[in-house]
Order: sequence, then structure tokens, then C-alpha cells
Amino acid sequence: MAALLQVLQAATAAGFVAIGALAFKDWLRRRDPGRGYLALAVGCLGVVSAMGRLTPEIPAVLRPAFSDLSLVIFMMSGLALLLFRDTVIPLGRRVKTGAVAITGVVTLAAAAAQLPSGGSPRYTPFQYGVVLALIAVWCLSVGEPSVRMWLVSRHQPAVQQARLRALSFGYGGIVAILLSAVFAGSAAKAPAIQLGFALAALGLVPVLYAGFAPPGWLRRVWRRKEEELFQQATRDLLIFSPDTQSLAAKSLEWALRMAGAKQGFMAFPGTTVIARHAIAAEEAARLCGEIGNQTGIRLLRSGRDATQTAIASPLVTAKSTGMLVLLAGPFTPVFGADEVSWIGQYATLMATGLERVALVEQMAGLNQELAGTVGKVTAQKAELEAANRELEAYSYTVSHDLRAPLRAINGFTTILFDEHAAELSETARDYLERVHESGKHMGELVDDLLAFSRLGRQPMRKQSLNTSEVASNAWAQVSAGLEGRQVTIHIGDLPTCESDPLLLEQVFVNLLSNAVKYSRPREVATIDVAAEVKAGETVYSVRDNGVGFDMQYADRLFRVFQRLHRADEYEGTGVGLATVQRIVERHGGRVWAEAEPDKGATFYFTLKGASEWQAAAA
Amino acid sequence: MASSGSLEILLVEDNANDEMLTLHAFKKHNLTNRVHVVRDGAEALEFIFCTGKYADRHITDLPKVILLDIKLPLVDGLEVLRRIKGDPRTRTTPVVMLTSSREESDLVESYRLGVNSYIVKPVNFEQFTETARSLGMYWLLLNKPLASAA
Repeated sequence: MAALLQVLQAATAAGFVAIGALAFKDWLRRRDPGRGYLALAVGCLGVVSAMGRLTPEIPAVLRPAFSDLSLVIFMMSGLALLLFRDTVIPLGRRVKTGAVAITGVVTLAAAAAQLPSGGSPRYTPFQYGVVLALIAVWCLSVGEPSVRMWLVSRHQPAVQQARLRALSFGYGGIVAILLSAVFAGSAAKAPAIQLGFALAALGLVPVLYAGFAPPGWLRRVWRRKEEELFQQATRDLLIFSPDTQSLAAKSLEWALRMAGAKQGFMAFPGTTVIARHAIAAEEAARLCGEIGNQTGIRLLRSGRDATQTAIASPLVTAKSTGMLVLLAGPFTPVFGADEVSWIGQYATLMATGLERVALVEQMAGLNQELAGTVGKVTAQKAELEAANRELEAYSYTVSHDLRAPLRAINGFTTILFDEHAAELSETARDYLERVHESGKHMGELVDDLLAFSRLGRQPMRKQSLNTSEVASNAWAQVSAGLEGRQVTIHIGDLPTCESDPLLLEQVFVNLLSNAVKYSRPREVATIDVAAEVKAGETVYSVRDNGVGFDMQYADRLFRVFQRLHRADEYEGTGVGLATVQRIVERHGGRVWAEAEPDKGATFYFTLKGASEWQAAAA
Repeated sequence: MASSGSLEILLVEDNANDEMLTLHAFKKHNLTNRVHVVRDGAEALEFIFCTGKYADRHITDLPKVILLDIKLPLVDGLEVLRRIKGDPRTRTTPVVMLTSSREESDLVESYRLGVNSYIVKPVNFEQFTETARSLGMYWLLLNKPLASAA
């Protein structure tokens, strides 16, 4: 029994020493005060328990000093835990100072009291008081943090919660064993009780170990339940987030929670901070710059506090990159390889989510724009329709009302000529003749104008046409009234075209009658209808050897009622070329002319490809 | 029942000049004494359906042809046409649209309503006279109306 007890106590001591060594190593790696105190607390416990085992081997002379040293280290372990608690949950300055002072005083008092050692020491009342004070101070130093850590753990992520509870439970256990040993008095010396204490103390070793350096598998176990919740939340987050802001805020919240980090931010795209938690905007921006393009998953030290650990994961999408940065707090569990790869995966997922949301937002913007454009187009269409209706009403009025007075002028002048010519003087007849001619001319103007305005409204019936045939038909119409004229016409082999037959014939009629009209001074008028392919488009032309015109007035040619010749030289209403232009443009083509005074004119037109031409000219 | 025989043409025309020119053309061809002129669509309907100031006329006493302008005061020509062609008593009377309008919509609507002919008044007087003459000849001499005596 005694041997077993020996083994158990030795194992416990070794366990504490091992944990202490691990804690110290951890502190060496990342030297922050919290880790240091924790290492000190655990390490001191290990040292004290090891020293307890070594006491029998110490020469009797050194024993009092050895005992005092072990007392001091023991008290230090309690104070260190209290100071660790201070780094997590700050104590008041006075409380801290007081605690240190009281620990110092009690330790000094204990040293001064020269406590006896051995199996069953006999204390003087002073010594007894000192021992009680020692125990009370240590238990308070350790017990208070244990309770606080337990309370604080309630609002922590799974890993931290488990970790804090393990620490709290471990220290609480030590306090309980110590107090039980003290108050059990002589009963505590029973071998069975001793064995119980030894087993309990040994059991605390793995608990404490799990508390400050939980292995990856344990962390995964602790996290499992939360992870399920988290995965569900992540899915919802990715699918249902309405905009970048809320997705960023919520995904950062989850990352912090799962990693157990205290601060963090998300920058996307580039270094634009779109979500942050417990960190100032300027600080986030500064860290962004510091991390820079050191993307990739890495552990880094950053910030003014050189001991702060951060984990930065890149957010990579096809179009841009950003980063998710989590900063460790005092309670943050180890950022191990496990967390690093886990956060990396999470960041990839969130990047995808961000890209999706960005696309949705872009689409919403485009939709809105489209709706606006559609609205505008609809309004414009309505306006155009209204304008068109007005125009129709207008041309109806012209058609009906303008023709009536002309009919009267024409009719009554004719009756005057037919039935009352004898009663009129030569001059009166001349004047009447002028009135009659003017009326007739105005009638032609009105009719031409109406025909012209109808052009734009008639539906087009395009079909494949033999262009030469259409030109010949037009010539048959034009040449019908050419008594006394000598005209040589040549209609070339024209390429076929897609066009409205009646409208195309109108084009040729107008161009040919112009050619005939303006070549009147020539003894033999020559008209040439041809076509050639220029830059992939077919250009038709009608050339004459007539009087031509000055090219500086060319832009006026195609305007309604614009004429380049005097009415008493060349009759006409000035609508013919405007009609040609309107028809050609309705076919998607263009029309132009080249001429020189007295050297003839050539009119060119195409029936499609105007848009390509405009693009090339621009 | 037989028509009175005294009336051959009902001319519905609000333009005095056009009326005079039409009558002049008819006179040349000896049709004047058989023409009655009304100046608006409402009067045309009163004449045809024997109401208002024409109440003492008899509905069966119909002209051989009605010449109708489209643009008329009060009731327009298309409406007059609709009423004539919509009433079994007057449906068989030939109606000729004699109008300034070259609008296709007017033409289509007229034929839809059952007009017998649609003629655009020419501005040219020679043509106008010729139109009036052939109109009178065709409808009064060549066209055989449905036997109203039946």
C-alpha cells in the first residue's frame, strides 16, 4: 500500500513537472505575460511536488532551508495563477498590490516561524496560525481565479469554454485536495485516504494539461457540436445573405466564435475593410498594410504589442482578393495547424459567398438600370406615337382642307376660260392664266408632300428583286412623256437587291426623271444606270450629262422643297430627291451626289449597310 | 312601291364651291334638275330617314344615288354611311364617297361599311368634270338598281 502510494505521488509529481515544462516551453515560444504566469503557476506546482518527493533524500541540516524554499515556490504558484487571472480578467491595481504584499508577508512569516516538518508536526499556536494563513492565502489566490474562469467560460466558444473549465476544475481540485488534507486532520493519515488523495491529484494532471495545451484531437472533439451548428449557419450565410455588408459581418462573427478570437476584420476587395470586430478602423487598415500581400495561411506577429498573434487567410475570388484576419485574445486557444487549415477553408468558402453576393448586387443594379431604360424607352415610344398621330391628323387636314380651295381656284378659273373668255381682256386672261397655273402648281405641291409624308408610314414589303428590271420599268414610265427629246439610256447589269418593289421603282423614277429634266439643253441626253461593289457594299448610280450643279449646295439637294434651279427653268416641286432619300434610308441605305456645273450629275445610293458606313466614317 | 322618279341624286356637300362645281359639271350633262343638295350629315340623315324638316317625305322615296363627302359638319360622312347601310330600308341605295381624302384608313373604313364606290375629288377641273359626268352616267343610266318595285 505504502509502495503504491509512493508510486502514485511520484507519478503526480512527474506529471506536474512535465506540464510545467510544457508550459514553460510554450512561454518560450510566445512570450506573453499570461502564458508566463500560467507556466509559472503550473511549473511551481510541479517543482513543489517534486521537492516533496525529494525531502527524505535531503540532509537534515539543509532541510529547514529546503522546506522554506518549497514554501516560497508553493506560494509563488498561487500568486502566479492570480496574476494569470489578472491578464485575462484584470484585477484592480490595489487588489493586485495587496495580494502580492499579503503573499509576501505570509511567506516571510512562515519562514520566520520555522515550521516543523515531518510526519506529524506539532505546531505552536503562532505556527498553527501561520500555516492556516498560508493555506488561506494560497486557496484564495487559486480558488478565486478558478471560480472566475468557470464563470467567464459560459460565454466562450466551445474550445475556450472547455479549456477554461479544465483549468478551473484542475485548480479547484488541487484546492479541494489541499483543504481536505488540512481539515481531515489525523484521518487524512489513513492509507486509504492518502491513496484517494494521491489518485485524485494524479487525475488532475491530464485535466490541467488539457486546460492549457489541449491537443488537436481534443480541440476537434470540443468543437464538434458547435461545428454542426456552424456548418448550418455557414450554409444559410452563403445562400441567403442579401448583401456584402451583412455577409461579411456575419461570417466574421462566426470565424471569431469558432476560432475563439477576440478581434478581427475582413477586407475585401483589396484592403477595403468591410467588417471588423473590437478593432478600430485605423488599426485594421494599418494591419492590412502590414500583412500586405503576404497572403497564404500563416501565423504572424503583428500590432504594436509584438506578442499578439494573428492569423490571416486570403479571400481569393476570380476577380479580386482580400483577407480575413483574426487576432488572438488571452483566452484564445492555440492557433494550431488545425485552426489554420480550418480558417483557410472557411475563408475560401466566404470568398465564394462574397463573389456570389457581389454578382447578385451587380445584377440588381443592372436590373434597376434596365428597368429605368425600359421606362425611358417606353416613354419615348409613347411620345413618338403621339407625335406620329399628330402628324397623321395634320396630313389628313392638309389632304382634305388644303385641296378644297385649290379645287375651287382651279375649277372656277377653268369655267371662266371655257365659258367667259370672250368677256375678258387680254391682260385679264393673262392674269387668270397665272392664277390657274399657280393653283395647279400648288395642287402638285400638296399631292407630292402628302405622298412624301405617307412614305414614312407605309409598311415596307421587302423582297428579292431584279434591280435592272425595276430600273427598266421606271424608265418606261419616265420615257412615256418625252416627245421631241433625244435620249440615250443605258441600264447596266445591276445586282439583285432586297427591297420594296414599288418604293425602289419610285427611287428610279425620281432619279431618271431628274436626269431627263436637267439634260434638256443637251441635243442628245445620255443617261447611264450602273452599279459597282465598293468596300463590300453595292452602290447603284444614275449618271446624266445635264447641267449639273455646284457641289457647295449639295447638302441642300435632299431637303424637302429645296431646289438648286429656278422654277421657270426647270419645273418641279423639290420633293423628288427628298422622297428618294427617305426611301433609301428606310432600306437602311444612303444617297449622295457628285456633280459639276454644266458637266452632268451622278446620284449614288445603297440599300443597306448605312450603319457600317457610319461606324467606319466615325 | 315606286319611287317618285323626280329625284335622282342626293349630294351631301358642305363646301359651297365644291357644290357649285359639281352642279356645274352635272349641268353640262343635263343632270341638274334631279339633284338635291344638303349641307351637313345631320340634314342628310333627316332627308334620308324622313325626320325633322323632311318629315313629310316618305322613306321609300329614295334617291338613285347618294354622293357623300366624308368631312361634314355635325355628323360625319362615315357615320351617315353606317346609318344608311345599317338600316334594311335604305341598305340597297348606292352610296358613293366623293371626298378630298386620300387617306387609306378612310377608304378602308368606307368599304368596310359597305360603300358602293370611293372617289377622290381631283384638283384638276377637267378631271373633276369628267368624274362628275361618268359618275352620273354610271349610277343613273348604266347601273340597274334593285327592283324597288318588287
